Amino acid sequence: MNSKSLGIGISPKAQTLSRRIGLWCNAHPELWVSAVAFVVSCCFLYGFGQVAHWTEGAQSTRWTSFCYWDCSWYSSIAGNGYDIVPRKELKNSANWSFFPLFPLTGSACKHLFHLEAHAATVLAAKIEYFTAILAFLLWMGPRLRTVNERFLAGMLVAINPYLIYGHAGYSEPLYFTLICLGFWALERQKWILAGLLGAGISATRIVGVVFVLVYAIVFLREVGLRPTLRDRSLRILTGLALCPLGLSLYSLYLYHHCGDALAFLHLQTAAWHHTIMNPFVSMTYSYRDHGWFRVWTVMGLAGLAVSAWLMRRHPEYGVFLALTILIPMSQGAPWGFPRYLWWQPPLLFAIFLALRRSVGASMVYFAFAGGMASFMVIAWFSRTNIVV
Amino acid sequence: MELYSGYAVLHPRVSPNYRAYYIDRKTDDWEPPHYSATPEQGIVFARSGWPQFVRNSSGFADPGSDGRWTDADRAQVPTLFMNQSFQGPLCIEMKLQPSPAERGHRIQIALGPEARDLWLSDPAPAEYRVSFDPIQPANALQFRFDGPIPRVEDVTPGIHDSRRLGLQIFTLRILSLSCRQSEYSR
Repeated sequence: MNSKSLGIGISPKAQTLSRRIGLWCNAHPELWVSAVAFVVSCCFLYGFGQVAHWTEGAQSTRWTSFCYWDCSWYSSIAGNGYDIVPRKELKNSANWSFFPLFPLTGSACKHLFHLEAHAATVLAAKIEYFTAILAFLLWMGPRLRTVNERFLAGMLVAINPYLIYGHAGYSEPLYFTLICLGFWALERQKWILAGLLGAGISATRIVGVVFVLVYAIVFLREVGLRPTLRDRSLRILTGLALCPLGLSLYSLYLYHHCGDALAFLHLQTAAWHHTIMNPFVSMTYSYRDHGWFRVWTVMGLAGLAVSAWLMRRHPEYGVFLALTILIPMSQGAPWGFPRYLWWQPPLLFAIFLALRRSVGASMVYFAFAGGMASFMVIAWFSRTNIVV
Repeated sequence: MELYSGYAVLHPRVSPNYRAYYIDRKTDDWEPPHYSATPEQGIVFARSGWPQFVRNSSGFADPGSDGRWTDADRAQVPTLFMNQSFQGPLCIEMKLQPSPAERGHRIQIALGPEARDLWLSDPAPAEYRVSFDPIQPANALQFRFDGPIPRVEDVTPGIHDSRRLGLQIFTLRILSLSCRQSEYSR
C-alpha cells in the first residue's frame, strides 16, 4: 500500500525529504534518541514542577525559580566573577569552592543570549544535560545493539533519580558529559584528546582529578609502562600530564586573585567546618542517623558494591566509581552525596548492563527512579536542604 | 604548569589573619566583632564576638543561648588568644559545665607556661576559681583535657550529635589579684 493506492498526494520533494530524514536518523541514532530523552526529561520536570506550583506555591514556570542552593554560587561567578575576600554575611565563605568551567559556560550563555546570570546558569546546565545524554550514548555506542537499548541508555540519564540537578544550574551535567567523552577517548586510545578532556573535568569538579587514575590504568593495561618509556611515547605522557591541568590553572588563578592557591580547600574546613575523616567511619556515624543520612549512606554502600562488581571486567570504571564515592564521604556529614553518586557515568553503565536483558527489571528500576525524581523535584521547590 | 602551581600552594600571599583562620586553622574567628569590656568585667560567652582584650579563639563552637561549647573537632586544645599580656597574681573566675563525657574528669587551665588542675565534679553549671602567678607575661589561656573527647552520640545514645563537646563556658573573668584576696574583697 503506498500513497498512490491510497489516493494521497505526497509530492516527490516531501518523499525525498522524509527519506533523507530517515537515512539521517539511521546514521545518527544517538542524536535523535538524545533529543527525545531530553524532551522527556524536560516534560517530567515541568510536570512535577507544576505539581509543586499547585501544592507548594512554587513559581515553577520561571527559569530563575530553579536556580537555588549551589546554583546561586555558580551564577554569582557567572555574573560577577570570583570573590576577592571572604564574605562575612555568608559566614566567612566565598565562591572559591565552585570550580570555574561550568560558570564559564553560564557566562557564555549570559553574553550570547543576553540573559541575567541566574537564567543563563540554568540554561547552560540544560544544554549540558542534552550533551550528557548524547555523550553517554556515544561512550556506550559499541555496547548498544538495538534502538531499544539506545533508549534504555538514554533514559537512564534522562530519568535519573536526581535529574533535578540537570535542570537547576548545577555542574553535574557538564561533569557527566566530560567524563563520558573522556572514557570514549580512552577506549579509542586518543591520548591527547583524553588528556584535554581530563583537564576540563578537573576544572569542573575537584573529584574530577580521579580521571588521572582511569587514564593511568587504561594506558598501563593497553600499552604498558616499559613500551611507553622505551618508545618515548610523548602523546601518552602528554595526555597524562594534561589531566590535572584544569585544577592547576584554577589554583594559579586563585593564587593571583586572592593569594591562596588552595582557597577552595581551605574554605571547606574553615568556613563550612568540613573535617576530613575515614569515609567508613563517617558512613558508620551517618548510618546511625534515622534520617536522610542513613538513606544516603545506604546509597553509598550500594554504590561501592556496584564499583566492586565493575572491578572484575572494567577495573578503571570500578576504581573511578569507588573513589568518587569515598572522597565525598570522607568529609563527614554526607550533605549533597546523592548527586555525587547518581551523576557518575560508571554507575549508570552498571545499571544498563544489569537491566538490558530484562524488561521487567527495567520497569521496576524506572518506577523507582521516576518516583525518586518526582519526590526530589517537589522537595526542590519546598526548599528543603535534603536536595542541597 | 603543575610545578608553578606547586610553588603557589607552598607560598600563599595572604594576610596573617587569613593564614591563621583559613590555612593554619589556629583560630575559629575571622575578624570577630569586639565589645567593650575589661578583663575584670569578663567574657560573656553567649554574646557574639569577644571583648576587646580577646583577639580571637580556637576550639569553640558558635555562641549558644547560654554560652559556648568547646569542640574538639575544631581544636584539641581550646584557646583564648588575648590582645594584652597578663602577669602577676591573677584569679580566673569561670562559670562552666562539663559535657556528659567530661563529668568527673580533670582539665588543666593553662595561662602561658603555667597550668592548674581543675576537677569537673559538678554536672550542673558551677563557679570555679583558679589562681595564677605567672612570672613571664602570658597572652593565651588554654583548656587542656585529660584524654580524647568522644562524640556526644557515643556517650548519650539517642542523641544525634556528632560533635566532641568538652565544656560549656558561660562567663570568664580575669581579676588582678589572687583568688584569696578576691574572696576577702567580696
